[in-house]
Amino acid sequence: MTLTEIEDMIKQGITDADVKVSDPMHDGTHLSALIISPSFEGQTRVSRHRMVYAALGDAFDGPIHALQMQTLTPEEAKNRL
Amino acid sequence: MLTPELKEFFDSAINDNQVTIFMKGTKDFPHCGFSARVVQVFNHLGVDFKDVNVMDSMDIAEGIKEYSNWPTYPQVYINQELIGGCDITCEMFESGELQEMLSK
Repeated sequence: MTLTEIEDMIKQGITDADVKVSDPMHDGTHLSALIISPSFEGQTRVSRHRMVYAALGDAFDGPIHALQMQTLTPEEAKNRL
Repeated sequence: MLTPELKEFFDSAINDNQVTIFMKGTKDFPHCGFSARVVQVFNHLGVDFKDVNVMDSMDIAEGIKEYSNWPTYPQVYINQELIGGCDITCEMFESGELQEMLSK
């Protein structure tokens, strides 16, 4: 599964999301994602992560071992990045 | 599958402790970098916690995913509520929210 495929899966689940997936350890399994979406507005961190997990479906049982996530609204992203 | 016995095991681990961490390995021997990091956070804060090793059995490993509706480990519960995994725990530690939650 390529990083682009994972980005596409997340975007299919959260259609207004801006997604960047990277492989900081270069091992193909410990991935890192930055997801910025207005849909996160008013959601707790747990619900935001669940939205991403839902978009990825069964991928966690197979190709993805770990996905580090930053889930931000556009407003938060402006202040933090 | 989440059997009634397993559910009760998770319920009591969570209800009997302010902090419960479902993790790979134990607090003394974490078996994964992410689990190790949350252990470090709570050790640093001097907060004791209950550790449940998901590698003890396949039933625990699969059951807790269903119980929490959360597909990865570690899973950190504080005051009987899932606060998230490593990313959220570390973010909340850095912002001070974790310390605030623990003082309740």
